[in-house]
Amino acid sequence: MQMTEMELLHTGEQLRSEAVAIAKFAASARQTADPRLQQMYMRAAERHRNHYETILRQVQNFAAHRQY
Amino acid sequence: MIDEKDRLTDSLITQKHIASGYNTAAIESSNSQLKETFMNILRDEHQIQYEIYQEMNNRGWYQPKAANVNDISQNVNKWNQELQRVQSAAARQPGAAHQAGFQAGYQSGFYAGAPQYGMQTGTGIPPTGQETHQYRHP
Repeated sequence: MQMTEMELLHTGEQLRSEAVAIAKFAASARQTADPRLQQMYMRAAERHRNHYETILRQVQNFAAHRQY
Repeated sequence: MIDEKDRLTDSLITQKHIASGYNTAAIESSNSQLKETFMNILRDEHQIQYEIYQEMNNRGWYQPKAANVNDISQNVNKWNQELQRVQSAAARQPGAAHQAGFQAGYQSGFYAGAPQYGMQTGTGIPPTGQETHQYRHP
Protein backbone atom coordinates (compact mmCIF):
# COMPACT_ATOMS: atom_id res chain seq x y z
CA MET A 1 0.00 0.00 0.00
CA GLN A 2 1.26 3.41 -0.99
CA MET A 3 1.06 6.54 1.08
CA THR A 4 1.08 9.93 -0.62
CA GLU A 5 2.65 13.15 0.62
CA MET A 6 -0.84 14.62 0.92
CA GLU A 7 -1.91 11.74 3.17
CA LEU A 8 1.16 12.16 5.33
CA LEU A 9 0.38 15.88 5.65
CA HIS A 10 -3.25 15.27 6.67
CA THR A 11 -2.16 12.53 9.05
CA GLY A 12 0.16 14.93 10.85
CA GLU A 13 -2.51 17.61 10.97
CA GLN A 14 -5.13 15.23 12.39
CA LEU A 15 -2.75 13.76 14.96
CA ARG A 16 -1.93 17.26 16.11
CA SER A 17 -5.64 18.06 16.51
CA GLU A 18 -6.26 14.76 18.31
CA ALA A 19 -3.42 15.42 20.75
CA VAL A 20 -4.87 18.84 21.60
CA ALA A 21 -8.35 17.30 21.95
CA ILE A 22 -7.06 14.63 24.37
CA ALA A 23 -5.50 17.33 26.58
CA LYS A 24 -8.51 19.64 26.29
CA PHE A 25 -11.15 17.06 27.18
CA ALA A 26 -9.04 15.73 30.08
CA ALA A 27 -8.73 19.30 31.42
CA SER A 28 -12.48 19.86 31.00
CA ALA A 29 -13.17 16.65 32.94
CA ARG A 30 -11.05 17.99 35.81
CA GLN A 31 -12.61 21.45 35.73
CA THR A 32 -16.32 20.68 35.49
CA ALA A 33 -18.47 20.45 38.62
CA ASP A 34 -21.10 18.35 36.83
CA PRO A 35 -20.54 14.58 37.22
CA ARG A 36 -22.49 13.84 34.04
CA LEU A 37 -20.31 16.20 31.99
CA GLN A 38 -17.20 14.88 33.71
CA GLN A 39 -18.07 11.39 32.44
CA MET A 40 -18.69 12.71 28.94
CA TYR A 41 -15.39 14.62 28.84
CA MET A 42 -13.44 11.60 30.11
CA ARG A 43 -15.01 9.36 27.49
CA ALA A 44 -14.31 11.93 24.79
CA ALA A 45 -10.63 12.16 25.83
CA GLU A 46 -10.43 8.36 25.70
CA ARG A 47 -12.01 8.21 22.26
CA HIS A 48 -9.59 10.82 20.93
CA ARG A 49 -6.71 8.79 22.32
CA ASN A 50 -8.07 5.76 20.43
CA HIS A 51 -8.19 7.79 17.22
CA TYR A 52 -4.60 8.89 17.71
CA GLU A 53 -3.43 5.31 18.28
CA THR A 54 -5.45 3.91 15.37
CA ILE A 55 -3.92 6.37 12.91
CA LEU A 56 -0.42 6.03 14.32
CA ARG A 57 -0.55 2.21 14.13
CA GLN A 58 -1.67 2.33 10.52
CA VAL A 59 1.07 4.72 9.46
CA GLN A 60 3.61 2.62 11.37
CA ASN A 61 2.42 -0.33 9.29
CA PHE A 62 3.04 1.57 6.06
CA ALA A 63 6.53 2.50 7.25
CA ALA A 64 7.31 -1.05 8.39
CA HIS A 65 6.32 -2.63 5.07
CA ARG A 66 8.06 0.03 2.98
CA GLN A 67 5.81 -0.73 0.02
CA TYR A 68 5.91 2.81 -1.27
CA MET B 1 -13.86 32.95 33.79
CA ILE B 2 -14.75 29.88 31.76
CA ASP B 3 -18.10 28.41 32.79
CA GLU B 4 -19.83 25.14 31.88
CA LYS B 5 -21.47 26.64 28.83
CA ASP B 6 -18.15 28.03 27.51
CA ARG B 7 -16.50 24.65 28.00
CA LEU B 8 -19.24 22.87 26.07
CA THR B 9 -19.15 25.50 23.33
CA ASP B 10 -15.39 25.15 23.08
CA SER B 11 -15.74 21.36 22.88
CA LEU B 12 -18.31 21.70 20.12
CA ILE B 13 -15.97 23.96 18.12
CA THR B 14 -13.10 21.51 18.65
CA GLN B 15 -15.24 18.66 17.32
CA LYS B 16 -16.35 20.67 14.33
CA HIS B 17 -12.76 21.50 13.44
CA ILE B 18 -11.50 17.93 13.82
CA ALA B 19 -14.44 16.48 11.86
CA SER B 20 -13.79 18.87 8.96
CA GLY B 21 -10.15 17.80 8.98
CA TYR B 22 -11.11 14.12 8.68
CA ASN B 23 -13.57 14.86 5.89
CA THR B 24 -10.83 16.60 3.89
CA ALA B 25 -8.31 13.90 4.75
CA ALA B 26 -10.70 11.16 3.59
CA ILE B 27 -11.59 12.96 0.36
CA GLU B 28 -7.93 13.52 -0.47
CA SER B 29 -6.81 9.97 0.33
CA SER B 30 -5.88 7.67 -2.50
CA ASN B 31 -4.95 4.85 -0.15
CA SER B 32 -8.19 2.92 0.44
CA GLN B 33 -7.19 1.66 3.91
CA LEU B 34 -6.31 5.12 5.11
CA LYS B 35 -9.48 6.57 3.59
CA GLU B 36 -11.54 3.97 5.43
CA THR B 37 -9.76 4.77 8.71
CA PHE B 38 -10.39 8.51 8.29
CA MET B 39 -14.06 7.91 7.49
CA ASN B 40 -14.54 5.61 10.49
CA ILE B 41 -12.98 8.20 12.79
CA LEU B 42 -15.03 10.94 11.12
CA ARG B 43 -18.20 9.08 12.16
CA ASP B 44 -16.95 8.80 15.74
CA GLU B 45 -16.13 12.53 15.80
CA HIS B 46 -19.70 13.22 14.72
CA GLN B 47 -21.00 11.05 17.56
CA ILE B 48 -18.86 12.89 20.13
CA GLN B 49 -20.04 16.20 18.68
CA TYR B 50 -23.67 15.13 18.92
CA GLU B 51 -23.32 14.07 22.58
CA ILE B 52 -21.93 17.52 23.39
CA TYR B 53 -24.70 19.17 21.41
CA GLN B 54 -27.35 17.18 23.27
CA GLU B 55 -25.92 18.18 26.66
CA MET B 56 -26.09 21.82 25.59
CA ASN B 57 -29.57 21.42 24.14
CA ASN B 58 -30.83 19.74 27.35
CA ARG B 59 -29.57 22.71 29.36
CA GLY B 60 -31.17 25.24 27.02
CA TRP B 61 -27.75 26.55 25.90
CA TYR B 62 -28.07 25.59 22.25
CA GLN B 63 -31.59 25.59 20.88
CA PRO B 64 -31.67 26.12 17.13
CA LYS B 65 -34.72 28.03 15.95
CA ALA B 66 -37.24 25.88 14.07
CA ALA B 67 -37.84 26.82 10.44
CA ASN B 68 -41.21 28.27 9.49
CA VAL B 69 -43.44 25.57 7.94
CA ASN B 70 -44.50 27.91 5.12
CA ASP B 71 -40.85 28.64 4.33
CA ILE B 72 -40.18 24.91 4.13
CA SER B 73 -43.03 24.22 1.69
CA GLN B 74 -42.11 27.26 -0.42
CA ASN B 75 -38.54 25.97 -0.66
CA VAL B 76 -39.71 22.44 -1.48
CA ASN B 77 -41.76 23.83 -4.36
CA LYS B 78 -38.77 25.81 -5.61
CA TRP B 79 -36.44 22.79 -5.38
CA ASN B 80 -38.94 20.59 -7.20
CA GLN B 81 -39.07 23.12 -10.04
CA GLU B 82 -35.28 23.27 -10.09
CA LEU B 83 -35.08 19.48 -10.34
CA GLN B 84 -37.55 19.47 -13.25
CA ARG B 85 -35.58 22.21 -14.99
CA VAL B 86 -32.31 20.30 -14.65
CA GLN B 87 -33.92 17.01 -15.70
CA SER B 88 -35.45 18.51 -18.85
CA ALA B 89 -32.13 20.17 -19.70
CA ALA B 90 -30.42 16.78 -19.31
CA ALA B 91 -33.09 15.06 -21.43
CA ARG B 92 -32.38 17.42 -24.34
CA GLN B 93 -28.85 15.95 -24.55
CA PRO B 94 -29.34 12.18 -24.91
CA GLY B 95 -26.08 10.35 -24.30
CA ALA B 96 -24.35 13.68 -23.92
CA ALA B 97 -21.74 12.34 -21.53
CA HIS B 98 -20.23 10.19 -24.28
CA GLN B 99 -20.18 12.80 -27.03
CA ALA B 100 -17.33 15.10 -27.87
CA GLY B 101 -19.57 18.17 -27.84
CA PHE B 102 -20.62 17.51 -24.29
CA GLN B 103 -17.95 19.56 -22.53
CA ALA B 104 -19.04 22.90 -24.02
CA GLY B 105 -22.76 22.38 -23.35
CA TYR B 106 -22.02 21.04 -19.90
CA GLN B 107 -20.07 24.11 -18.86
CA SER B 108 -22.44 26.67 -20.31
CA GLY B 109 -25.43 25.07 -18.59
CA PHE B 110 -26.27 24.20 -15.05
CA TYR B 111 -22.70 23.55 -14.04
CA ALA B 112 -21.29 26.80 -15.35
CA GLY B 113 -18.71 28.05 -12.93
CA ALA B 114 -17.61 24.57 -11.96
CA PRO B 115 -15.68 23.44 -15.06
CA GLN B 116 -13.34 21.26 -12.97
CA TYR B 117 -16.02 18.55 -12.99
CA GLY B 118 -15.22 18.02 -16.66
CA MET B 119 -11.72 16.94 -15.64
CA GLN B 120 -12.86 13.87 -13.74
CA THR B 121 -12.44 10.41 -15.14
CA GLY B 122 -15.60 9.19 -16.81
CA THR B 123 -16.80 12.53 -18.12
CA GLY B 124 -14.97 12.55 -21.40
CA ILE B 125 -11.31 11.84 -20.70
CA PRO B 126 -10.47 8.21 -21.51
CA PRO B 127 -9.01 6.26 -18.58
CA THR B 128 -5.26 5.68 -18.82
CA GLY B 129 -4.98 3.05 -16.07
CA GLN B 130 -2.62 5.38 -14.21
CA GLU B 131 -5.28 7.17 -12.13
CA THR B 132 -4.27 5.57 -8.86
CA HIS B 133 -0.70 6.78 -9.15
CA GLN B 134 -1.45 10.13 -10.69
CA TYR B 135 -4.22 11.05 -8.31
CA ARG B 136 -3.69 14.55 -7.02
CA HIS B 137 -6.42 16.58 -5.50
CA PRO B 138 -6.96 20.06 -6.93
